[in-house]
Amino acid sequence: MDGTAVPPGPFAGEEGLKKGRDAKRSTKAGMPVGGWAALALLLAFAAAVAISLIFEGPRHLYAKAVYICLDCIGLI
Amino acid sequence: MRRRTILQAASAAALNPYVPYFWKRVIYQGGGKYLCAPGLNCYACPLAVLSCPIGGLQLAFSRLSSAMRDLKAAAGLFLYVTGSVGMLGCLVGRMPCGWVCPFGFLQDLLFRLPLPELRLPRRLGIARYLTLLTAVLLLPALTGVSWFSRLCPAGTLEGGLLLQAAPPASPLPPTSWFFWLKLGLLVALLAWATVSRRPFCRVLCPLGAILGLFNRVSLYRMWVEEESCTDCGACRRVCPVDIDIREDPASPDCIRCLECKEACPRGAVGSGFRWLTAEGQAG
Repeated sequence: MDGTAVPPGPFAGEEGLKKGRDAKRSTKAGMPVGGWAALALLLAFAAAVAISLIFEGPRHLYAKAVYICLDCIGLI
Repeated sequence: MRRRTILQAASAAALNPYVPYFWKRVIYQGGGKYLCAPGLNCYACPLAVLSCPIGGLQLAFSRLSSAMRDLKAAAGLFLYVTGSVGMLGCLVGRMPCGWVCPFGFLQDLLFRLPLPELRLPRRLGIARYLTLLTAVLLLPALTGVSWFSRLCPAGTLEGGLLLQAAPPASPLPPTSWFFWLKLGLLVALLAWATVSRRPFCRVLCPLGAILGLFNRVSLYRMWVEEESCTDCGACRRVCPVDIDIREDPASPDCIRCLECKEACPRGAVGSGFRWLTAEGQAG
């Protein structure tokens, strides 16, 4: 072998091919369990916002927020 | 000027843009007040265009009290505010504290004063959960009064002082001892912020307490690559909340300001949405 030959990489050969496939699969695998839990929580909170509309949650917040809150400014 | 400082200033301005108050002398009553601000920004502030989520949460629990019972309103407010804050937390955890909250921004600026540092013990952080449980949830439910709002320094600064300086068209009640007590609390807190890193955020902020819980589950993650870390401590030195990201990248104290990531000379501190990066999947 002359000095200009490129040495085999880490995924050379049959075993290396399997390692390479496995390596690519692990980086392109779906989200880990934690990620799915976070997404599920996100959807649950979005559902909470949607359900709050039935109880007029945003309107109640608005009704308080558009008047000067005397508690907040220390003038109780 | 650093990028985060610019974004914090822009955020403070974006949350409080209602300049027409100064000639109309009526606080903003537009549609923005249906939405929860992603930070501690008082809705009594005449410049504010969003609603404070902590104010909303207190309102929800006050509607459970015998004095103000309205269970439908309580349910609606609770679901709406926790849903809004929860969605934000699930996405980015406590990141709004580091980039959006005007009161956090003010504390960051105050700490830049060249004064000796008073370091705070980590265990003081439990106090913000106690504040949340008592002043935001329990006391309003028992008394019908928004006790945290009565003491909130952001309200004093953004609402109380501003409205005294530029009074609204409808006259305000006269100031009493309580106003001066609140003002004293604000001054004490701001003085504290000159010598300790973000004391309000670490010790008292109920919104930070809620968002911090999401650091462990949020889609946006922080991580430290141990093989790249040389334990130089640069991350710890620049942290605005005085934590060591190496100990716990998902710490509920972390405000995800990314100062540690910028300061790390080896690029060992990483962050990102977990399913977009291979590193994020490892966390």
